Amino acid sequence: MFSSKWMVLIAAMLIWAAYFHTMDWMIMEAQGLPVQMTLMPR
Amino acid sequence: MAFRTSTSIIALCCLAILVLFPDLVFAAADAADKLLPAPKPGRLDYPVVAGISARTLVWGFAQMHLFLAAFVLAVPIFSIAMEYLGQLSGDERYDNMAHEFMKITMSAYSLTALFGGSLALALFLFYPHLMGYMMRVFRGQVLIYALLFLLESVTLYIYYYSWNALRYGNRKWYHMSIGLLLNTVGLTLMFIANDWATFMMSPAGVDPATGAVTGTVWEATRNHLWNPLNLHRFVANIAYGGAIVGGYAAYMFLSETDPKVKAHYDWMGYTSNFIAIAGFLPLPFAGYWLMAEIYAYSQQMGITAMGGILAWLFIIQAVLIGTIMLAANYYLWCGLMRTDRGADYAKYVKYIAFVIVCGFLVWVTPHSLILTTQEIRQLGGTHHKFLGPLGIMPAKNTAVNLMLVFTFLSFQMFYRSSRIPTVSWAKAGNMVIIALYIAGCANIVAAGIYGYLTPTVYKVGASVPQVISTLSIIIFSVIIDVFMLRGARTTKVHWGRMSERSQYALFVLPVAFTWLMGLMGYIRSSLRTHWHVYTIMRDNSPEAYIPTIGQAGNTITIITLSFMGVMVFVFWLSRLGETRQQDPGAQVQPAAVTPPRLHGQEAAQ
Repeated sequence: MFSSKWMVLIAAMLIWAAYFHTMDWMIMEAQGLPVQMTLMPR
Repeated sequence: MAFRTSTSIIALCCLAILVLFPDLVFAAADAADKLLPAPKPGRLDYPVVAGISARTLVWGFAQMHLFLAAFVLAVPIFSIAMEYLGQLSGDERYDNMAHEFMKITMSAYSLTALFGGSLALALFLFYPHLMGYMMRVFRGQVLIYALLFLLESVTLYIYYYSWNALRYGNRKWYHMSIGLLLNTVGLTLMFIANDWATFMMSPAGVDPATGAVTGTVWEATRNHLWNPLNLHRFVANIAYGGAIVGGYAAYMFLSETDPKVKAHYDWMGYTSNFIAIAGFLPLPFAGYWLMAEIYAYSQQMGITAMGGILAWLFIIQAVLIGTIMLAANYYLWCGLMRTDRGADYAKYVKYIAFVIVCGFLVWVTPHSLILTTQEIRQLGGTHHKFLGPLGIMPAKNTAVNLMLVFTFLSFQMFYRSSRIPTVSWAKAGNMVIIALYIAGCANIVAAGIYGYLTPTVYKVGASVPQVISTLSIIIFSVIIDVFMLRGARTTKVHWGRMSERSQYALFVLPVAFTWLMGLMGYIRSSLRTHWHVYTIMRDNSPEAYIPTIGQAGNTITIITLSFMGVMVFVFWLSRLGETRQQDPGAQVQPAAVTPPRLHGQEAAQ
């Protein structure tokens, strides 16, 4: 599956995106700032 | 073994101070002190000597002392790191360079003490009541400071002068132990001086109503802003020290004509720039922490800094930091000419330059403009329609984080340009790093946009994931590179094959750093406004006001220029020390300057 470098790029992007998303979520929660969609403007 | 001995000695010294002089460390307030309020000097209690502006004089001495102290405390930190690296790698070039770094420090050390002494005298002369109160709060700690200063001098001289006597084998470890002791003493000195400065901003261990000393010295020491300032100054000193020795390396590179010696100083300049930027990368985050703690301690103080008259100085700060970023990156891009594969990476420089210039422009965009009525009418409001949104923190945080990431990329490109990975998964590894950069930068931008869509508390909160994203990119890239470049085929680095123009970028760094430190030091000190000790002891001197931006700017500039003059003198002294007059009776030899001692090794590969 990972024979193509582009496949590796896509897979790595997904993994890193998951990492950053989880990190964002955890940091905001740790600061007592839960990420809620209601904060977004209507 | 020697390190363990050194650590034991340090621990024993601390214990001895605690046991022999408990009063110096933990002096509980005397009953009399508890009743004695902080002094309230009137205008006539401030001596006027020959019409001299007391504040400007003290400001100048304090800033000069701080510049020099930052330099002489920082250099031993990375000198010992380099010495250790030389010991691990067996490459004597590291050792020689560390020794040369220390040589510059030696010339600056006595000047540091000179300005420190002048500062103390000026403070006692012009502000006797304040100094009397400070002595009452810190009591025996002042003596410990003096003792440590003596120890600092002794260890510094032994560390420098024993370099060649303790050069190989076990003796080298003893030498590094002395260096460790020197750094421990130096840092402790800085931490003590920091607690005096932060006590004046966030006093502790005193009665908030009267200022009477109610707590111990330790309580006053461990005030709210002490540790944030300790961390900020520690990191800043390393960046500053690196920038100054980089300036020295550039000075020597331009002065020398021998290609081998030029190669040596080119390598020294590169290493110094690396140290300066390595110290600089975490600096904004330490600064954020300090500012957050200032807000936490006193919202009024925070608003004075970021929302009042001092806020405009942060625009100048942005210009200076942008200058540092551009200069450091320019130097790194020029460095690509040292390697044969550098040209392969040069094509990416324009994209990095684009990001850094855009980041710089966003950072210097002010939020509120000082406008006339007509200008407001023409603009349609106090904020520009398109540029106004770039003036708030989410945009600036995004800009600075991207600038840091791309500065690191410049480093990585140069490092890669002389190494060809040989591992089978090299292509996949590169893709993982590229994905890391893309995902990380996207996260930084997304967190910035999120800041626009949320209330202020979320804006501030979202800056933390941005910082962690930047650090993640740097740390994970380094980890992957370490594994990927293990056993890599290295190509020759032509040290010395560097344009003279690039060396001027190394001069820009210390000048901009010095100016920046002067500016930020002024802001930190001005936050006390009309208080000697914030909310405890009022400043009733004729100069108890915040100077205009112009006056402050001129004073900081004069101090910066004076410091640069001192540093040129120090560099010249170091070069003079290597100059040997020809024996008039001997045959004429062309060389007037002896090259640096390279101990039988080539100056550079």
